[in-house]
Amino acid sequence: MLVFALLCSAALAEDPLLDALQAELDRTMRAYEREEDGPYYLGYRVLENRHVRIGSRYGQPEPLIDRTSRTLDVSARVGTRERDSTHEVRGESFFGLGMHTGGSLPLDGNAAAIQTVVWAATNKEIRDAQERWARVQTDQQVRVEEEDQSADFSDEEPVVDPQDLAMLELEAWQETLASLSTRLDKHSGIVWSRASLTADTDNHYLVTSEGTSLRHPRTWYRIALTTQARAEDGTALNLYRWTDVREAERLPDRPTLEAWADELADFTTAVVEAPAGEPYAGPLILRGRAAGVFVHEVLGHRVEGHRQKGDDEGQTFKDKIGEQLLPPEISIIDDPRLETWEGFDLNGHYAYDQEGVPAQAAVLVERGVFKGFLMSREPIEGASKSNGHGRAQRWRQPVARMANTVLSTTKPVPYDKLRAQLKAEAKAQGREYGLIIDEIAGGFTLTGRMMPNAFNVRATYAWRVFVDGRPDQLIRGVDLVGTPLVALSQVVAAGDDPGVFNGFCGAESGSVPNSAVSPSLLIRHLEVQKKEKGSSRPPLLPKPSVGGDT
Amino acid sequence: MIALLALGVAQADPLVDALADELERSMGELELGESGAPYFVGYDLMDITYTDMDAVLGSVVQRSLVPKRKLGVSVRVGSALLDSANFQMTWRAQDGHRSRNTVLGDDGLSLRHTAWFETDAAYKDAIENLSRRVAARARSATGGEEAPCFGPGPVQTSTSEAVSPVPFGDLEPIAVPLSAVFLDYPEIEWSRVYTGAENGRRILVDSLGTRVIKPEVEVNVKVVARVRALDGSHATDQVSWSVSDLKTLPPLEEMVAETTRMAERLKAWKMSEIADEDYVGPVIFEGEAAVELTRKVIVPALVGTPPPEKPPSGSRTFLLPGNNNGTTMRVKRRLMPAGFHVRDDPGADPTLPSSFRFDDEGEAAKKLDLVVDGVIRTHYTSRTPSKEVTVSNGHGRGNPGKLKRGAPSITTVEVDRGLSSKKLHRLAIAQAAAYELDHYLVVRRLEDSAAAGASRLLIQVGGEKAGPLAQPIVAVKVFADGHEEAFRGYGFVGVDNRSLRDLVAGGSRSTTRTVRYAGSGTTGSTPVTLTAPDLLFSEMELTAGGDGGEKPPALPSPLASMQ
Repeated sequence: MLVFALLCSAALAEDPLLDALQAELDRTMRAYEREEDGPYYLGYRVLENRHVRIGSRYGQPEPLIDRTSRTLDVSARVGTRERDSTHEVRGESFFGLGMHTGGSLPLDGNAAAIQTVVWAATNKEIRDAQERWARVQTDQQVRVEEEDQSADFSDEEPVVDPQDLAMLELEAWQETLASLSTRLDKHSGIVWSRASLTADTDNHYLVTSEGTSLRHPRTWYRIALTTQARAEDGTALNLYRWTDVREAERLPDRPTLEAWADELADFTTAVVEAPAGEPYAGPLILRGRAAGVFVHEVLGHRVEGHRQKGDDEGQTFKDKIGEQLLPPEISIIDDPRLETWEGFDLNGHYAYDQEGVPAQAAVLVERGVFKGFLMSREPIEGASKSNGHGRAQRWRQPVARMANTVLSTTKPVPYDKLRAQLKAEAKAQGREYGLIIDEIAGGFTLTGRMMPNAFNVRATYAWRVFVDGRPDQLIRGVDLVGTPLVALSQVVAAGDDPGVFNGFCGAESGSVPNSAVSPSLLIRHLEVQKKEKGSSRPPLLPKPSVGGDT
Repeated sequence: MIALLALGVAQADPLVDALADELERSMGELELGESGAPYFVGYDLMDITYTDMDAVLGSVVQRSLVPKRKLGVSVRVGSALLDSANFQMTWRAQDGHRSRNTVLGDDGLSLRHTAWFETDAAYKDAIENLSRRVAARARSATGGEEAPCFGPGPVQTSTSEAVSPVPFGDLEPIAVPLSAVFLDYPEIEWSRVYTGAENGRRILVDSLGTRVIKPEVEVNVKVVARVRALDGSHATDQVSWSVSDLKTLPPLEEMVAETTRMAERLKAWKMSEIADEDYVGPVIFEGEAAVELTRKVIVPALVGTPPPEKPPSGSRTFLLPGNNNGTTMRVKRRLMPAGFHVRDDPGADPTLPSSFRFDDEGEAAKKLDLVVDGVIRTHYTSRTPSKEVTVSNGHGRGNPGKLKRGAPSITTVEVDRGLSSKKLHRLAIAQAAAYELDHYLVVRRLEDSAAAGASRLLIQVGGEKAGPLAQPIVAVKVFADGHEEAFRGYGFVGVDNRSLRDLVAGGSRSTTRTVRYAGSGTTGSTPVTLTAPDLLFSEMELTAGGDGGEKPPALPSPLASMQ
């Protein structure tokens, strides 16, 4: 390790940004080393980002977005690893909690400018930490002892790893997007549509007072097709089809995308004409991508380590280690090291988390038994170390978050058989039909104690599968709702058709990219509620491209 | 004949044609139940390329070049006497003005698609808003405003070429050296140079027959810096240049020199004594402080577009914040003492970005004598007029998709007998005697409160709203023998348009600045050029004391050890 660090330090010396960050960090720590309330930890995170988006509507180009920025995030901790300024102050306002000081850094290697921006932000962050440390100490004296007495910051090995900088590769996609957007606009019921390609090239830097010095790249491309329609009952329907990849070469080819555009346009028209769903409780199948989001919302957020610590948190799984949660053939891991799953790029891949800890696999459920939590550097009772899941967007304090959450089964059931099981289950429960949730737009969950500890998986559309053999019926306007322990206990079987949902997850540490992977799941009993709907009438006049010419 | 020719040229543009076609369809076919068809539909297409580049301490920190096409839609239902516009909006209810970014290219059908979608939504909004207004007036004891709702002038047609965008390469040689000035000033805690250009064209098409294509040109350079004194007080200062063409910026050496003067000024502010007692007595606003006073106090009193009509008190309607009441004064009221005049001439200097032939509603811009001998004679008026000026005088300004409000273009405050600096000094000393003072106060610069917020949005596009005067950055006590003592920490108390009656005299020297003006804050900001003489007030009240901010950084700036 020492040899590795020495070898790398030569390469790091050639990066003026890292040099400037290190110089200001050293100067600050030296100045505070004899101060009683000086920081015991100081970290500089820099996100160097180029964001490009090209798009097209109705065959015409949208304005190009092309932004380059370098943003600084300063993290200072005052106190000790056992108890420090980041500790929860009970009863304190949620607002501002976990926020870091930031700034815009020069795009070049101007050391004077970089250090001056860093200096001003460091001063503010340390002052914030000092002020908060005083409040933490008072809180500890005034209020009752906390249930979880674990430390505030784990001790981890510093890492030195300067990887190659990422470069953005742009392809001539505008013409393809124009063609796709024309196809999307072909039906009169589609009031708005877009084809777009977004690309981000990130270089993540981290320099800390513990000796960590990192530079690691990330590239991300998303091609997305969007349609919007409005049903006669006022429901606004937004349908998407997208894929995320790490290299432009892995984007789908034009014929594939054209087929997607045609399918989406046709399907938008079908969904807008479909009847609205009704409240339902009974058996259903979540197809792969929807099942992934179900796992993310029901289990994933509740096994984020820091949630086992807060007195306001529901702590659903805190004391469930060793308990059977799911059928014995099912396991769930979260592994940021995975780059792909069955040919699909995974959005949650990274080499190091935002606290500089190498990515590791976290086993959450093994053979149906709950095994452990996702961990950042905030220890909890029974878990004193990070497993590389400390994540945050810029200017936020990292907390444990999901990356690539993967549900797998040792007894995959062919999909046709799973569907037959659904009909049988519906019949056994005396239902007219079972439901298949095919596509979802996302979801959310509440994990605290003040509100119902519940989840909502937002279905785009669903199918009624009748037990008497009638053809399946498309419905819209339903969401999947429930509570975690009951929902997990109702999982009956998993299919042989793993699907990948790539997206971005929002929580207290901001928006972070992640993936959810799962085969279809048959669930014995779950509830579906009506989705909220708008009240605007569809446009009064036909759109100009469909007979509107004067 | 000329108008017809211009109309023909304008209609040759595929985008104008597309908007006109969709407008005709909307006016002819849009009708929902008994609510009636719109009586006015207007399209405002801003077709502009935004080029931005910011620099800090000799390095670029941000750059973007964004071609943008934004379509604003205005739909009015009802009649010119009672319509849907300018009634207070709520979180859910809009007033018939909408906007949306639209696609590039010359394909008219695509533009029509956006126009169709937004017109439909704006029409439905307008119907709801008129209904709310009618219901509110029925509840009101007075029955609402007597002013007409819509007052267009003669229909205009005109065309002009778009202006080409400014490339990054032209901004960097300005932004970088100006920002590098602060490398020599470790006392300055924060600095940033904002450069930006907005070049293109604006297309105005409406159901009255307006067909105007006008150029959009603006180049802004703004240097902002902040310093903190030992007692925690801080001051933010700025210098800025706003021109219509990069070539008309001053030579770089001159800009660097002015930036250096600002840095020195902030350094001096940090070291100056803090005022320890409140002040009541004569005050002279000199140079840029007089321009700032004009922007904050004089101009808002002359805006004719009334603030949005509100439901009567007692209504449970939850209103949107930001629509303030404004401070417009009625025509024939005295604003200033006799001998003072305020004029506006949009065509006074066509090279300025504040100059225009047609306003943002396509009305012909008119020269205005706003204040004559201290008395208000007219207002800056848009098509949403005041009770007394019922027809637009071509001063409607604002962003696409917003109700256009009356605003200045090139406004000059004049005084009949401007005094020399010496005479102004003698008069101020004489005025001070009445307050048993051996000195008077001169304010030379005010803090730019938008810049103090240090937000790019506020600094670059937010402009300055009407409101209280910011703290003076340069305030000196001037004694009878002419010597000066600089102080910091003063703040104005209760300066508004009533304070203008305490004007005693104006100087023979005038200062001109092109700045941004945001009016009531609901329409976006626009460039305006203001000229004002030094202004002596017989009495003004200022409180003393710092702002109680955070103490200076614990460590010296890294620049201190790099020099």
